[in-house]
Amino acid sequence: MVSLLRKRQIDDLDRVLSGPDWGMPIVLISPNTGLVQSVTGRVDYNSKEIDPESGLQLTVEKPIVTVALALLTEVPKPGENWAIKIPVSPGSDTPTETYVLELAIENGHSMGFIKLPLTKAGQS
Amino acid sequence: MMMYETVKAAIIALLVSKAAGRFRVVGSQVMGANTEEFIGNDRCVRVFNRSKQFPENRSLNGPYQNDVSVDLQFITSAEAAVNLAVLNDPSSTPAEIIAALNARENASDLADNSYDEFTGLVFSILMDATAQDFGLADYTIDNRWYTGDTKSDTETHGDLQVLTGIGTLKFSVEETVSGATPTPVDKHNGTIMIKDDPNVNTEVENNG
Repeated sequence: MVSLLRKRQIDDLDRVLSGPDWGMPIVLISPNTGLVQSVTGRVDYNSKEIDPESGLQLTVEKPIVTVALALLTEVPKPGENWAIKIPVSPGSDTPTETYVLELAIENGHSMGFIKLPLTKAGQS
Repeated sequence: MMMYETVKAAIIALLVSKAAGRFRVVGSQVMGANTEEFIGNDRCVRVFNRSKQFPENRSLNGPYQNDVSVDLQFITSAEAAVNLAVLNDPSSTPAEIIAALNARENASDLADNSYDEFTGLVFSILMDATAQDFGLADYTIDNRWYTGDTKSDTETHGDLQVLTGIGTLKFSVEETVSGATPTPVDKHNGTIMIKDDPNVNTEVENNG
């Protein structure tokens, strides 16, 4: 049983992720059933500077998708080969860029969301 | 310009001439770049002189032996590979989608394979028998040796897998220094009276 306070927080977070302020169209494609789920969630287009052992100053793109679990019929699990489509930029309405899940999923089940760090995909 | 600088330029020219679109070559340390610039055949090797050493040989006017160490810095990144045509086709069946996703090639595997192939290519070019002098005149280079390279751990901070590594190429060249001609030692043309020479340190110059 979910406590009232926790349920309220989950609902509030759902509104934040899916609402007009942050919500963006996201498509999740399941490797288990082939199910294509079109939901609204949050996409962060961050970049980060990394400094590997060789001392190089490199910048990496770090797109992360956050989706409310309540919107998902099928939820990605660690190690599964999901594909995720997101808009190419925050100003776009159509998810056209395809990514895959190769990095570790950040599990936010206690607050009703899941965070998916994306890996870029090219045509095989 | 000293010879080791000429050799570095020759190494870069050799790698560029043999790259055949499989990688890029730069000659200095790049300050700041996005990892997307190094995907696939845009992988990059940076060539720069790391150190030089002049073994003592007591030569007064040269040439001087210069033992040079050149760093080869490898950068490669990779994205995952999946059948996007199937994923982007609205008419694809669930079975086709499942097959496409489960046939995905991981970015980490592709990056690792790319790096191994890349360093092998560079080694083959630099250590080829015909490249003994890196395209310079015969006998310019001595003791050419690619000592090896070390691969970094795959960086998993972003949407690409990044691998970097450092390789070392060593060789010896002769350096000559152009400067003022040394002033000859003055000769004493008169008579020198030597009182004693117990250690036989003197002798008469043979002008004959």
